[in-house]
Formats: sequence, C-alpha cells, structure tokens
Amino acid sequence: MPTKTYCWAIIDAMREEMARDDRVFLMGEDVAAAGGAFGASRGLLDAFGPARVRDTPISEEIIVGMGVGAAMAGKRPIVEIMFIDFLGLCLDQIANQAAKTHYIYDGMFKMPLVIRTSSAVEMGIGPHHSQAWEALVAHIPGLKVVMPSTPRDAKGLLKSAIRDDNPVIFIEHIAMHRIKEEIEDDEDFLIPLGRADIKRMGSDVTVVASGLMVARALAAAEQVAGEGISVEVIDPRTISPLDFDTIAASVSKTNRCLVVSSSHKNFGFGSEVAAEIGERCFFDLDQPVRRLSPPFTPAPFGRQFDQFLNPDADAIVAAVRDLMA
Amino acid sequence: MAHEVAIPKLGLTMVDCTLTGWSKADGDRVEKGEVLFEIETDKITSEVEADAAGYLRRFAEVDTMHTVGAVIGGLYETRNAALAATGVVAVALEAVEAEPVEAAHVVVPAAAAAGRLRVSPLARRIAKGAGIDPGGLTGTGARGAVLRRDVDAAIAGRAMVAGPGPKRRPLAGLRKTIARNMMQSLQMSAQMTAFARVDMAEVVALRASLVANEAALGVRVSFTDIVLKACAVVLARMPDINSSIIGDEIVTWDEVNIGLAVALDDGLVVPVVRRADRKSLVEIAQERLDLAARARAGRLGHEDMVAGTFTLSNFGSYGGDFETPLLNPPQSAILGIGAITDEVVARDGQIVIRPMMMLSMTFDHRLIDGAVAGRFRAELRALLERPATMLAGLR
Repeated sequence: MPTKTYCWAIIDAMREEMARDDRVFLMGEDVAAAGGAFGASRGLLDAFGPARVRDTPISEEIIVGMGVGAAMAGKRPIVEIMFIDFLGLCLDQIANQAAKTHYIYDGMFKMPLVIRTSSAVEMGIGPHHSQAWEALVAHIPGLKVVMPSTPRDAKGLLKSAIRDDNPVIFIEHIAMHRIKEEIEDDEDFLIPLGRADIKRMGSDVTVVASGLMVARALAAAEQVAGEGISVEVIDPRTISPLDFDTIAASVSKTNRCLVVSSSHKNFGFGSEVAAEIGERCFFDLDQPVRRLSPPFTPAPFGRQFDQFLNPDADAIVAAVRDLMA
Repeated sequence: MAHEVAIPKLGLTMVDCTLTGWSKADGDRVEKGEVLFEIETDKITSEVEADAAGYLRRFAEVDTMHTVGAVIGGLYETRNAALAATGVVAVALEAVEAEPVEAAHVVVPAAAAAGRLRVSPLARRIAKGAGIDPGGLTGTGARGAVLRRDVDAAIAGRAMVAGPGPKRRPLAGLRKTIARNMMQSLQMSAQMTAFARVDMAEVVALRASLVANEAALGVRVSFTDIVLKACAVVLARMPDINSSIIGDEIVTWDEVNIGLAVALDDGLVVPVVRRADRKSLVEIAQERLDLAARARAGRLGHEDMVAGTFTLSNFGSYGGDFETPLLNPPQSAILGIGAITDEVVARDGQIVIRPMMMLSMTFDHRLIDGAVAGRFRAELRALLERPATMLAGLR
C-alpha cells in the first residue's frame, strides 16, 4: 500500500472524486493557481482545468453562497474556507441556507456541498486563526461535521463527504498535513460518515479524542500501559452525527471515560459526550466523566503559551491516573 | 401544673416496655382509676390505670419503647390546657438503652458517619444486584467513594462463605428480654454451679402411686411437681437461699415463690408458683398445668411472672443430664434437673441398678457460701431420696 501524507490524502480524495463524477468541482481562495493556501489542492487545476478548479475573491459569504447555489442546481461543489475561524463570515449561508435547504424544500433540492476548512489550534497564529469550532457547527441540524485525525481517515471520509447528498463541514488541521500513513490504493475506498474508530483497544479507561488530540491520547495510552492501565482510544471521526453507540459500548466495558478535545469545555464536544454517556451509561460509571479542553479564553499569539492551551499527553496521563485512583 | 403520666415499674426487674396503646385520646377527660394506656413487657401486656384525674395530653406514640419512669403524657385541669400543652415529646428508648452488649453490635459505616454517602452508579448497581448495602462498605475512591472494586471485594469476601450469607433480623421482643436478662444475670452476680446425684427410686414409686390415684386426686402429678415441692420445703427451712442482693441490701423474702421455666416455640418464660411451701402436691400440679398452658397460649399476666424467689428448670424432659443454669435475677439460686435414668451404682457393697437423677444448682456466690449451698443440696437430696419424710412436716 502506498504511504501518503494527510495533505496528499486530501488531494487524492478530491482528484479521484472529480475524475469519477464531473459534477464535482472545487472553489476557494488560492485553491487553483497556488494549489491551495496550504498546498492541499496541488495539481488539480492542471488535471481538471479552470472550470472545475476555481479561485475566488476573498469573500467567504460568496464562496459558500455560490456553493449552495451550485449544489441546488445539481453540482457537487467542494468549497474551501481557509480557516474555520472565518466561518463567522459565511455562517448564514451555512446555517440558514445549506443546512436547511433539504428540509424547507421537502427534499426537492439536495445539498451535496462539502466545506473544507482548517482548524489551526496551537500553531501560535493568534485569536483569529486558532479556534476549534467543530462544536459550533455540530450544533446546527442539517449539517454533518467531519474531523479526521489520520491520512487514511481523511481520504476515506472526504470521499464519503463528496458523495454525500448533505452539506458536510470537513475540518482538517494544518499541523497534521505532513503526517504519513499507508492508504489502500483503491478509488472506491470509503470510510462511512458517522462511524467512530477504535484507535486502540483497552479495558480500563475510554479516552474519546478528536482531531489533533487523537495522537496525544494514543501517546498517553502507550505511557500508562507500562503502569498496567489499559486505555481504549476512540476517535469519533465524525462529530455530527456522533457515533454514540461505539462510545457507549466502550464506556460500558471500561466504566471510566475521559474526553479530550481542542474545543472549549463550555457547551463543547466533551460536554456533549459526557452528557450522552450520563444518559446512556449512568449505571456503568465507576467514576465521573472527565473532560480535558483548552481554557475558556481566546488563543494568544506565539507558541510560548502552548503548554497552557491544548491538553498534552502528560495532562491526559494525569487524568487517566486520576480516573484509576 | 399538670400531673405527669409516667411508665410505672411493674416488676422488680422491669427496665423498659413498649407502649402498645392509649385508651384515651388527646383532650379526653380521665378519671382516677380509669384504664389510661397499655404497655408490654416480656411478652406480657398490662393495662395501666390513671393515678389522677384530668384532661389527657399524649406525648408518646404507640409502639415506642420507654424506660420506667419516662413521662409519656400529662393530665391537665382543663381540656383546652391539655390540647394546648406542648410537653416534651417522650423520646423513644433506642438511644437510652446503651447497654454494653448491645452497643457492641452497633455498626456505624464510616462513609455514613462522615456525611454523604458516595457510591459510583456502577458500584451501586452491582451492589444492588448482589444484595449488598453499599452504605456498609468502606470506599477506597476519592473522598471515600465506594467504587466497583470495593463492591467486588465485598462480593469476593462473601464468596468465601458458602451460601447466600447470614440471615439477619432485629433482636426484639421476648428474645431481647431474654438476652438482656441472661447477660445481666452473668454480669451482676457471681455464679457458682454444683452438682449432686440423687437416687430417685422412692420418688418414682411415689409418683407411680399418685398417678395410679389420678382419678381420685383430680390431676396427674409429675416429677417436676414433686421436685418443686421438695425445693419449697427446703427453701422454707433455709431463708438464706430464699434471699436476694438488691442494691446495697440483702433481702430475705417472706414467701417461697418458685418460678418454673416453660419453654416456648420462640423463647422461654418463667411463671411463678407462689407460696409453694404451703401448697399441696395436687395444688402445685394444678397450678403448673394452668401456668404452662397459659404460657404456651401467650396469655400469662404480669402477676404470673413476678415475685419469684427461686427457679426450677427441668431440662431432663429434653434429654439433658446436667447443665449450668443461669440465675434469674435477683434470685440467688436456680435448680436444673436432668432426666431420671437407670444407672449402675454401688450400694452397700453391691452393684445395683438405680433410677438416678442429677441436680444442677447455680448459686449467687456473693450471698451463698459453698457450705450453705452444699447443705441445701444435701437436704434436697435427702428429701428426694426419702420423700415420705416430707409428710413429717405436714400440718
């Protein structure tokens, strides 16, 4: 199997799907001539031409609005919003148009729109480029929210997102672009949306982690394994709809749960998981559900504050030990 | 000021009772001598009459326990005063009854004592399924939380003991009374038990003759009746045995009242044959039959159970030879008699077979010295071996 980076997995997914279905096209700032602000659309302009790989003005509302219109007209657009922080500029198109079209037209119009965007938490690029807004969009019914943590998941999930008739917010992380993984060389390799992946099997503590936090959870699991603590790491991969069945089955087995997230605790992903576990698995819990998240504050400029921001492996190890105490 | 309604002391050993009923309601007019309430002690129910007149205000609930002297109500000048009275509500007994024996059984779970009980939902569920009260477990989690491992440990510990575990029921009622009396007996006196073998041949002959004449006598005289009568005769002669230590005094009783242990299905009661020294065998037999029948029917009155000065316990009827009976406080002596069995004994240089019986006597060694106890035993044995001599004292 070929080894691919996260970034090339995304490019491959788009190329394969554009080749497979000529209704699929890509729009966004610098996606065409520049090959993507982060290089995640390299080669696509040459392969598919300027009609299907289009640079846009710096107007997020127009980018998503065109995507919504094109999707209603029968195309299957992929639009790129450079940073997830910019969703505020196009939230009406996302929340009030894309998310509701299927519903308000009673299915007459479908909304096969993919909004690719990047979360750049912990890269030191300040309060406007460091947010984790998956919970913000996951709050809106009608949207699917996908957040892959590995190249293979990124490819399989993006291909599924492009083939999905519903609007999908596809959240990448720039810091993960260069990690590598073997990926099946198969143009029909898909990972279904809404299905969590057990990244590591364990029996003592369930750690639910998403995006950037998955690798840290796995590192922490490896560390405490030496102490005899067996950690199961679950990556939901799709934030909405969330695969609670897999999480609940794991917690019912381990009786302890930690949720690690780049998004804030307050009304966040961890809160949602903890609450659902409380409802589904209350009588299986031997400890309160724990959450690890960045502090409830805007992110500062500079990497010198990293240790105060996202949970690291040491914080996860400490929380796991706490749950086992 | 109102007249206090208090729990009376109905017997020498009465310590507490259960208030089982009120005959009057709050505000009712009560005349002196009217039945006011009902209490239960030692499985005996007694009605208590008002010792003054007035309007009643009840301070105690039915089915609560109280010590002797506890104020459970008041009698007032007017109905309004009674209804307005806010007397101190009589506190039920549980806290008062701090006897060392019972206190030893009070288990206060650490978690409960420390405040809120912290049990994980999982631990609670597993405990419930296993029939374990998580409140009784020691939590090893944060801030004393009971976790699954604590319940698992309890289950594992229980698995060491085969079966579903011990069955528990409250120590209450007659059993509680017996338990308290037996413990008091051992704690409050110095008990010494001595034995003597008695040749019962002549008692056997005497009884055969009495049974043969049952129709004429009107009652079937038992061995117990004969032994009881013999005890009464000796006790009348030996007032030192028919005595009690009560507080700082030695009380020598003016009556010979012999308690007779009667086993019930769920306990034991000791009704009393009063003035047994002055009663005939026939009277004793009749009284014994009546008391035993009423004991088994649960219809003994308080007056049937009090004022005993000595106790006779016939454990021979259930196959015993000798025992070490416990005194029935404040009595100073108790006699246990075993079964009459044919035994090989030496008599006048010959080996003979005689119907023998063992006397097991416990004395309060504080009051009764070994020599006195020995003399009592010897006199009793002499009477039983020559029962005809009892005729000598007949008036």
